[in-house]
Amino acid sequence: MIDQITGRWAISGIGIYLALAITILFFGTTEKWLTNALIQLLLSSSLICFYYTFYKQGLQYPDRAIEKPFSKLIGFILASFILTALPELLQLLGWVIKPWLAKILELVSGFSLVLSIAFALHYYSLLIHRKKTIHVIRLWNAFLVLLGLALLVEVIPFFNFPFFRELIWWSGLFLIVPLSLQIKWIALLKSDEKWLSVFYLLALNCMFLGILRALFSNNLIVFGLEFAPNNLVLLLCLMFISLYSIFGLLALIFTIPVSSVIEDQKAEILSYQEISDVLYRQNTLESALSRVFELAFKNTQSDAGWLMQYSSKNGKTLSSTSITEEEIRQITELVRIEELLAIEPERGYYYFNDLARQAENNSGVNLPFKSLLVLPIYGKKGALKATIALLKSFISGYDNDMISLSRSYAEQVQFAVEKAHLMEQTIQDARFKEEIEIATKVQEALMPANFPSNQFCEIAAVNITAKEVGGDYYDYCFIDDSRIAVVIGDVSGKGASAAFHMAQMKGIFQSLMQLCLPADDFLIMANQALSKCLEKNIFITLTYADFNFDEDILTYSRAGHCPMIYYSSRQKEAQFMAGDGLGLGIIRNSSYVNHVDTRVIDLIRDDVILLYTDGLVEGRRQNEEEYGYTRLLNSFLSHTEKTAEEIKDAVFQDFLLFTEGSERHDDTALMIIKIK
Amino acid sequence: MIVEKRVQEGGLLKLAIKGDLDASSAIEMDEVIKSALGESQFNILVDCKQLNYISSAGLGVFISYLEDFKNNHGGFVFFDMNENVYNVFKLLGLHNIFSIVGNEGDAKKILFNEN
Repeated sequence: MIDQITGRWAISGIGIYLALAITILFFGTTEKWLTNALIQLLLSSSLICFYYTFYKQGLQYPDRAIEKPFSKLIGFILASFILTALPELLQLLGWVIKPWLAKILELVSGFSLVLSIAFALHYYSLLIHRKKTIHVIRLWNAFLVLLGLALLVEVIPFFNFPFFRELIWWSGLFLIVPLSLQIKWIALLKSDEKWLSVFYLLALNCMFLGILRALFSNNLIVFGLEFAPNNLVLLLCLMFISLYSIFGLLALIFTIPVSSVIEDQKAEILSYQEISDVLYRQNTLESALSRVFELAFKNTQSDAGWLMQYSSKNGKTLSSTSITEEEIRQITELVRIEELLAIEPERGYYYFNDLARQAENNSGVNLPFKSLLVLPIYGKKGALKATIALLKSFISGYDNDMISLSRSYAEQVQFAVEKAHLMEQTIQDARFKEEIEIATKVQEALMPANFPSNQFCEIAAVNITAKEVGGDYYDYCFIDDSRIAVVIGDVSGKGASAAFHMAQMKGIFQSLMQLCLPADDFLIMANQALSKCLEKNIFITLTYADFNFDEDILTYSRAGHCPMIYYSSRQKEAQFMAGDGLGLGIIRNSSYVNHVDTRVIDLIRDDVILLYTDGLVEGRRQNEEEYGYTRLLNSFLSHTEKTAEEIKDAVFQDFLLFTEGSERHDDTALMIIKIK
Repeated sequence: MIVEKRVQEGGLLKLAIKGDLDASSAIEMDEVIKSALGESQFNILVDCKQLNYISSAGLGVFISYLEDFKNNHGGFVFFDMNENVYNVFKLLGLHNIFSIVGNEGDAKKILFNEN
């Protein structure tokens, strides 16, 4: 609180003050030797002692607004004391003062006394208005009005009736009592600030004693006005100042012993702030844990403690206070913390209020600690991250408040750990999303976006996927100048796995095309290649179409894929093209040859071929009705006169309209080849 | 999807599939067949009476065990299949690979003849 030197000053100040107060109270003005001068000088010296106390303390009063008027106040009081004492002092020394000089001194000292009263009023009004309410403001304004009335009564003889005086005096008292109870500022002070405040108020009381002395010995004269001892203004002011000082002093003195509780409470509130700060700033879990351990240790006033971090069941002491590693081991074994943690992992804390008894019952170990509080901190998926253990040297050392406080610290860390985990997850999710986006783009690049215009046919195609990537595939390849191979396929399943297999299919198609194979050989070799790279439960359905424009024939083979639609411009009819065939990757040996069925169609100008995947016919409307083969056929038939691009758009638009609003379950692809 | 597993007289295993066999239920179906293999059940009757729908992933399950069963001289025999499901089998050409018959009696006959 206050250091030794300033402490001495404070104590001597109080000593002088109390001695004087007692002498004045008992002997008053009756004793000759107690001259005015002596009293005033001694009062001044005690005041100087107090002032020096604050000065030495660096005047660290939390409230600057109060400190400034207080310093001025002390200055005025000192000046007035010395000035009132001066004439008598000079007389004692045998000097004769001229009457005019005595008059001047009297005048000046009276003036400074009145000023100090005004300052004291101002100072107290600031204190009263801490945490003010409208009620307090009204009371204070009423008091000021009353002081004005009192002044009126004193100055103008016309109003000076005994009835008025009584009325003002009693209403003044009626206001002063509630005003003196406005001492809320005391509650917020720390204990050393309270000690300082005690000196403040004592110093002010000093002043009142001095003024009272002056009043009762000889009347004050300020600017030619005489202030009698029964002056209403002075009496009201002094009444208020002394009553307020007394209440303040009493409240201060009685709250000093409990101020540590308030300070602890404040520290707890601040520690919450610090914890969230620590958890926000600390880079590692270790440093955050250490800081939280320190705070819990401090705010529960523990005698010893340790912090243990766990990584996969093995505990490691991260830090410990006032306890040896051996003692930690003994206590851990004694209360079997690890077993408890394993049995009841959901508990927020483990409290042992009498370790000594347990020690006696068990191993007879003599421990210096009697109370133990263990707080587990869990990470993601309930895995134990750390334990904080707090110890006290007496039994039942932790009350409910301390336990819940420490628990809330532990929970804060836990939240932070969870938050960090969630954050990590979010970042990972974002990264996955980015990867998927890349995959989508890569897959888009695998599908031909444009088909080259040539003199034989127009090709147009479109595809959409159910997920970000899909298993539908179409492609084309010029086998020679007048031969184009077109392929459409569908990998079983959907999503990422289907997309990978689709990429493999593209590789196989593009490689085999270099060999200028007939349709059946292509399927046999593709099946052989896929047998080696597809998972067992994956297969690919495919339609392979080989357009030979030298002979104007289409050779096609259906490997388990949806039958293509052929529109004959000669007959103005469209039909599904039959043919047997088995999906690729189903039979993974040479017997696949038996399942290949190749067919040939003669082509003429304006014939149209529609290739598609099952997503197109299985697309459903909200009421579960399938788009179906018939709808597809009819839709296609009504657009066959248009260009390939237009047919593709029209048929696809019709499909989209039909399935509008329902979730897409399968990848969908559509391809149109129109013969020129 | 629900699969009922029942061992018939003569050591035959009957699987009755109810509902939809799609990508999500394919995993469960796979477990059932895998456990049948583990118990050396190589002749499996598949009751499709209540099988509403089968997706490519669902078919993938049966296809993936094709060789395992063939190597052990066994196989699947499907019976009582509704038209929709049969069309899916047919579209893929699987009707040439799996035995698909009208009723349980015919299915048993096929299995016993093979043995």
